[in-house]
Amino acid sequence: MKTTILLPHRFKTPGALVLLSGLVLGVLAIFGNLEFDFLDVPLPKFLKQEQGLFSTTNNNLTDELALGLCIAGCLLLMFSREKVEDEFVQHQRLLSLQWAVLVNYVILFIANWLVYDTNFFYVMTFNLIAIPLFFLLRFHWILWRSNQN
Amino acid sequence: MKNTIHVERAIRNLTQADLAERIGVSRQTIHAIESGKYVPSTVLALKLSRLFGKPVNELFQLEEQDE
Repeated sequence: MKTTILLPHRFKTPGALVLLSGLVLGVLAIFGNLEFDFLDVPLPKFLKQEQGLFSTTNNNLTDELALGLCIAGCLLLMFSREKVEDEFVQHQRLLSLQWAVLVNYVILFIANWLVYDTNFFYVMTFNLIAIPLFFLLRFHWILWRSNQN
Repeated sequence: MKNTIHVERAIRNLTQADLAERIGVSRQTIHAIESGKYVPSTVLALKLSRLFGKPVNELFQLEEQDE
């Protein structure tokens, strides 16, 4: 079982750039209330759960852009090959994914009982990309550590 | 599971990087196998067996904790 569906290695750098820009934009959008004027667009009302099938209301898409960039960046990074992609790396990839899921839900479980109201919104927002982030941290730390040997 | 890979490698004067290149894996994989942190796949074990000219059972042995 040597091949899995992975993008070529050259997608790592663009993926990192996309993720970084998404993270920066996201932090600015949430905490700095940053909104780009050119992203003020009319959306069909049914998307915003308002009455009316074809009429539109305005919405700013800066926050949507931020999340979109974060997700796209995470996917590009997660699913691109390492320089040498052999069975050991694939094994570590699987273990890291397992670890990331576990750590994510343990933290979420604890946060569920300790964090309330608006603060929990921040927890949930982070949780949207937490698993890929934990995976990337764990996976690359393991690879770096085995490189040191 | 213990293995004698590092012994076989030393007999033939190969570095981990040399062996990795001949087998077609990364040096990290060879290091992980030799330090007992990773159990290679059957295919990889057979490739090692073919390279060293020894049966797989001579290269890899079960330990008590494997039972």
